[in-house]
Amino acid sequence: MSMKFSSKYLEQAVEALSELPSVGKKSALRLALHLINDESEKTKRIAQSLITLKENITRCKTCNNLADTDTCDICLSESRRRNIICVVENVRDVMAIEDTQQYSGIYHVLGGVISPLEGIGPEDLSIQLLKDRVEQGQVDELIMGLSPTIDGETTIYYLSKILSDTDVKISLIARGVAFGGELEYADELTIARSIQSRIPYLAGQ
Amino acid sequence: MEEIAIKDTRLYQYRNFDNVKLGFDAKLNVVVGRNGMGKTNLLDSIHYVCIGKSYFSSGDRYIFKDSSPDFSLISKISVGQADSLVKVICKKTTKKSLSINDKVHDRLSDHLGNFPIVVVAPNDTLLLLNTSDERRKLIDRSISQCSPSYLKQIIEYNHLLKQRNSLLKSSKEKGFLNTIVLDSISERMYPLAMDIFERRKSFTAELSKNFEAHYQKFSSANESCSCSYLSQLEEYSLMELFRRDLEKDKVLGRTSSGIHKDDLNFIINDEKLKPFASQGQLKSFIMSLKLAQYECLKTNLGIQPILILDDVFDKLDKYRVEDLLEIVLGDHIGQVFISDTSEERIPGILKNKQQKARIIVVHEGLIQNSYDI
Repeated sequence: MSMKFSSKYLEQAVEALSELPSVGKKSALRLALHLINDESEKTKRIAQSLITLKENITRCKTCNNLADTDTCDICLSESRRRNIICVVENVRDVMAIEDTQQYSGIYHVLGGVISPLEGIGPEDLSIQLLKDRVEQGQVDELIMGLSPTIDGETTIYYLSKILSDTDVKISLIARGVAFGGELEYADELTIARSIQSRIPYLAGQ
Repeated sequence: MEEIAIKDTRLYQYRNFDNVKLGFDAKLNVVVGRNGMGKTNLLDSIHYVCIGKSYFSSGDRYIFKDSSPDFSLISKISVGQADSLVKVICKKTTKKSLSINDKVHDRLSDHLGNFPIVVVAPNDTLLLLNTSDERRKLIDRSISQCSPSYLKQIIEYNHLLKQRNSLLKSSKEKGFLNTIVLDSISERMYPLAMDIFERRKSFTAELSKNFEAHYQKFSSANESCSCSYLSQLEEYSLMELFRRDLEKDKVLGRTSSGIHKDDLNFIINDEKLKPFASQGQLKSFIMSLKLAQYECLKTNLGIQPILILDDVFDKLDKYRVEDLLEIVLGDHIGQVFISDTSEERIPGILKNKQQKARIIVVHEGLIQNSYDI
């Protein structure tokens, strides 16, 4: 689709905005027009906050989570249990688990999963950092919080292999019938897995 | 045994059909018309609603009529006493949606096995080519209709295979192979390969039994025949194969052994059946194989599948046509769809037999006429 612009500035702004994921040309135009018509300092505020973000954000040196300083708030927190690490793919997964307020351990953000097809090998992920953490000996358990995709499973398998000479306990987040879901609509594989890895029933849980 | 029948279907912007709605006979439907009028397209639309994809094209992009942005198929299908409304809506811009009674099926594998179907078509001779793809496709298509989890295993195995190949290839370029990553992929392929092997093996055994029985009926001469499953896993486990071929795989930059090399072997009179076998042998072979597949699906699912015979009557003489009709009209076969270029031949034979049927005359993407005899 080609758009005819009456202004070079507008065209550049639309081009720039549409470089963002899930923003097409039309949405970009709408956003740009919105900013033109806005009489407050909105454009400046947005631009400034993005620049500040980009210039200041860093990675936690312990867990590879996004942070403002070299250690993230979770790793700094006194109330967190340091002997349990939940291994996740990316920062969004940390936020999803944090939102539940059910987890008091700390994290390790891999930054992706192993996928030779996409050119992602162990050296492209923060796997060495995780190994170092485990080998320091303070960790009792690693919870594999990776998505149950084919590549996620391969990555878990790989991690368990390279950590097999340590005595860390490796566990896996439960997979099965979704809460609030109906059994008959769950797929065969999920049901089979749920039956295989059933858990003891505790009344009142 | 439950009967399954397509009651009616509506094709919208599907290949050369603009917007057509038509009803079917519960037993026999004969689509007639000259070449290129849309007979195969009509039969393919039946396969599409049953399986969720085309039998004849490898992708949906070939199905859109001219420059139409979308196509849809809506069919009422009865299984036993219950009617289901199957809707396929495919747009160029979004993912296609497939629903049964307005409940959307997210994955194609959820749809498989509900409406089993067997297709016999001229391109079935591809089964005799040197490459084994078509023969594996025949096995995979059949087993996945019986067990949706099989399809998932195949998809998973193929994905891991691609990862493994890609690792081998990039390692060849880099001159360094991370064997722990390789093992992580290989060891996950292992249980899948075992399962797929077992399922293919038991399916082929069943198929072979039925195939031999049918072939005896078809071939006039007393020919012996058999069909057997060939797999490297018969002798070695996947891990043994991978270990054995590791050096070779490193040089090739791909995986040279595994269940993706499985094959079927067809033997007629102690000789391997070749693509240049006699026409009679070929026709008997394909019909027997497809009817054997039909039989296997029927026993495993407890449903009489739909049978599609596209253009198979073309080069047959009158007697063979009658023989074949006799077989498909039997009680052991459910609803049948046949296409033929002659408007008179099959309807003529059916009238003589006083066999009820729906005749559908297709002309340039339109239903010119549809009548019962």
